[in-house]
Amino acid sequence: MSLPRHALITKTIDILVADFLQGKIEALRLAMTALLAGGHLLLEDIPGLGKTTLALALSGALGLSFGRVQCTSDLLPSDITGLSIFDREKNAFKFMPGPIFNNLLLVDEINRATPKTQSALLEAMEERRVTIEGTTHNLPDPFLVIATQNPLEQVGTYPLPESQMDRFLITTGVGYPPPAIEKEIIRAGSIREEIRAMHALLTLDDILTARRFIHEEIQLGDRVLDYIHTLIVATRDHEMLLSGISTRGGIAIADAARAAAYLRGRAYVIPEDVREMILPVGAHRLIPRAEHETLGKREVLQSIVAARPVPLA
Amino acid sequence: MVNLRTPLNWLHYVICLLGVAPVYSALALPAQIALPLALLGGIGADRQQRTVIPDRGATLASLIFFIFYGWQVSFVNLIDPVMNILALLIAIRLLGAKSGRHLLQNYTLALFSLAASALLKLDASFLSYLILMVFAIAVSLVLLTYVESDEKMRLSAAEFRKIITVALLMPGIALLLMLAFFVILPRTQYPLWNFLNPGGTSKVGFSEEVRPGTVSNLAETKTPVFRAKTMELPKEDLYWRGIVLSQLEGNNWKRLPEVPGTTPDIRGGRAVAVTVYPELNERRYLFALDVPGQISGIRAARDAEGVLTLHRTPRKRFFYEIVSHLGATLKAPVRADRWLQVPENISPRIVNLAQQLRAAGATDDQRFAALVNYFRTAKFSYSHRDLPRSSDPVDEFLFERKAGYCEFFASSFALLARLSDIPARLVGGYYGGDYNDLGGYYLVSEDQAHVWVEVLFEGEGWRRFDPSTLAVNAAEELQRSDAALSLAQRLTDAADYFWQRAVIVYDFDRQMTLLFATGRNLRALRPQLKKPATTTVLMVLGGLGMIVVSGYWRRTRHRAHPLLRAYLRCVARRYPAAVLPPRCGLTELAEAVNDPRCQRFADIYGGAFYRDRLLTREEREALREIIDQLKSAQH
Repeated sequence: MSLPRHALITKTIDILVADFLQGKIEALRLAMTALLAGGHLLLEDIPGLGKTTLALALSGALGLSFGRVQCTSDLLPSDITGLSIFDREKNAFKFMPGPIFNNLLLVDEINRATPKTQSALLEAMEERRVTIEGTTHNLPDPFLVIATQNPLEQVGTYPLPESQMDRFLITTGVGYPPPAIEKEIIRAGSIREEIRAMHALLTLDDILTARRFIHEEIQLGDRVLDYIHTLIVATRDHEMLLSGISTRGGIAIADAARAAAYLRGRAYVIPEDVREMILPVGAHRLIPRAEHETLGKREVLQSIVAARPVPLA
Repeated sequence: MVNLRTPLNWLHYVICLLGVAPVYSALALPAQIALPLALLGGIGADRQQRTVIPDRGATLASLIFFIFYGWQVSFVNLIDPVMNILALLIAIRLLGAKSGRHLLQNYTLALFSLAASALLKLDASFLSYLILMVFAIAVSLVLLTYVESDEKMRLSAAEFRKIITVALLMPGIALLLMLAFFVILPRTQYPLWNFLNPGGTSKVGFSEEVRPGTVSNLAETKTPVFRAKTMELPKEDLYWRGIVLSQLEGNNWKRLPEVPGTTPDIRGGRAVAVTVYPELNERRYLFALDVPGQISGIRAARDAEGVLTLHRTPRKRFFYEIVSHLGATLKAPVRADRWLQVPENISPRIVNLAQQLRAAGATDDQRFAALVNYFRTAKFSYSHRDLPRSSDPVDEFLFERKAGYCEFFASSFALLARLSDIPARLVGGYYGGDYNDLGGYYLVSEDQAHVWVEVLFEGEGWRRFDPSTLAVNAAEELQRSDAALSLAQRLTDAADYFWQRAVIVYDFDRQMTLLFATGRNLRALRPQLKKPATTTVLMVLGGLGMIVVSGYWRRTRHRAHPLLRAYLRCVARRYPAAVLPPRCGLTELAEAVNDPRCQRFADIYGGAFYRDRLLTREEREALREIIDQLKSAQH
């Protein structure tokens, strides 16, 4: 079975990993999964591990337009969405689109923005359009937000509430690269300039075709569907959790699993896809009970998955 | 919380009781005393968690008993010593230490003891003991495995219940299987242990000779003699004929063995079919309602007097079917002189009385009427106690005591009849029977043994006459057995009856009969199939539909199962360290063991299974090939 654009996309990932993003294959794959599944990505990690590089390289390789917002506490919603400016020559207001009108938007340190700005951004992410002064502007397609936040920084931040976390398809860390690769990176120095000079490996059309295929053609069988359902129901019944994965979370897991299956070169979802995707897709949607707040959500979810048998017959 | 030791102890007591109870009455006195004491002592010791007899003492005592009773063992006396040894060993174990090994020993002893009881008596109660024992031991063994791994184990009530349920399931299923196997398993013509288990000879009740005056009190036992399956009949028809006694020597009525003429000549009467299930004893006479006709089901000789004799003493339980002709007359094949024989020294009072009776008329009828009239007016009474016991009991009965039981009535009546030129003979058998409406049969017991008279009328034949009915208290005495058995008694007896019918007399012959009957029924079924009824068609179609649906269901649900299982077994052997599905996926497994064949298996299997379709033939072939490769690569 041949998957449209599959070879191209995997080749792109390979080239990116080999040339620009050594040791970030997991994060890159997840970013690609989010893009193909039509969701957004939240990178939770300390600064300096290559989050921005990842976003830049992705936008460069995919031939996507790129915008960037550095969040601060005085950032206004209009700083993201754009605003109308009076043109004296034409004697009329002219809409100046903000950074959100790009295919790929990097929102750095999203937890530094005020809740008002955060919600404006997240609403746009969900609706994929922006309404400013009565006029609705559609956002470009594909539209991928890569937001980052520093989990260690607490002072002067506005942590995203759980309901907002739900809007991100995937949450992941980047992690330190393996020692050998890290040494190599240190030796080579920053590669920002090279990234800026890189050629697009994919066209917009390639991505849209692949996305359509994933959404419409990748098969999600009854057993795998049952498996997903079993797992999300188990999170709802878990004694350490106040609330488990919602129906939207279930949809997200299915979408991500489809994209993962596509990236693995399969036209159907297998339980491994679900097991691979449920942690990045599901963990940030869990709300632990007050007494278990310190528990890692990923570990809880991991234990739930491990306790449920993989459907085999 | 349940401490497992407590239920285990109680099960131990129950098992010991079940093993010993059936043989208890047959044990020697020391064992009879030792057992209850040991049980009580054992319960007390368990309460305080002590041991009464230390291990060494127990071994020593066992050895002593073994030698003592082992000395007595011989071919003729095998069961008694063995039972006593078993019982005493159980008693020692009850008092001794109770580790898992000891308990198992005692379970085995109890089981042997129960088995030994089957050599004494094999009735329906054995089955109930056995079933209870099987359940108790099964549950006990399961509990024992827990206790063995942790002596102080405590379980919650729910866990305990679950364990008990599972433990009960095993013997339950085994018993169901046993039922199925009982019908088909091959069995011998003769019970294996039968030589050890001769039928008891009864001392009271029916006997092959009639000698009034040998006992002064007649003990009565309610020992069953036979059960006869038939419809309910009026009491006056319930004369179960056994033996005919024609020869009178002194006071002693005996059987004349050879009577000319081979088959009895039966005239008239109403034919009634009866199936008789006798209890096993050493008698060779068969009983049937008066007058017995054709017999089937067993080889038996039927002489001209209508007496049925087995060719040899029965070695196993049996049954026979017989057609009786109620109210029929039996023709006499030879001259009547044979039944006029009297002994020489008869008391003058009797001779005198006979002369008066003979003077009553010229015809048999008149003299017979006079004789009956004499018995009626003499006011004899029927009694089992304080019987005449002189050298001439008939004389004493007729003229002094005027009380006796059936033998006195019958023998004095027959003697007087012969003396007044009426040919007469004694017939021994049983009178009455308790009808069990649950099983639809008569239970005839030893206390219903009876003797009556048959009188020959010229030109007509033998006519049955029961002189005991002429007793003044005949109504009370002879009807006394009609005091109905209680429901519980009838229930247990019905259970015993069905046990005998279904289990004891079920042997190779009956298996073959069942087989042939099934064959016949199938052949008989065929013509009917030509014009099938709508219901039959619907039933067949429904059955086919169910098969198809279940087959499809099984295919869709489990078709790939065997291949997957085989594959996983292979992988487990080849890669012992690998985490196996369902704890991970097939592809994860393939990646973990880094084997392209496993990856291929995962692709093919998952490609079908996770896309909701069945494996094609080619795919199954491919999977099988992969499994073979994995297997062969091991060697």
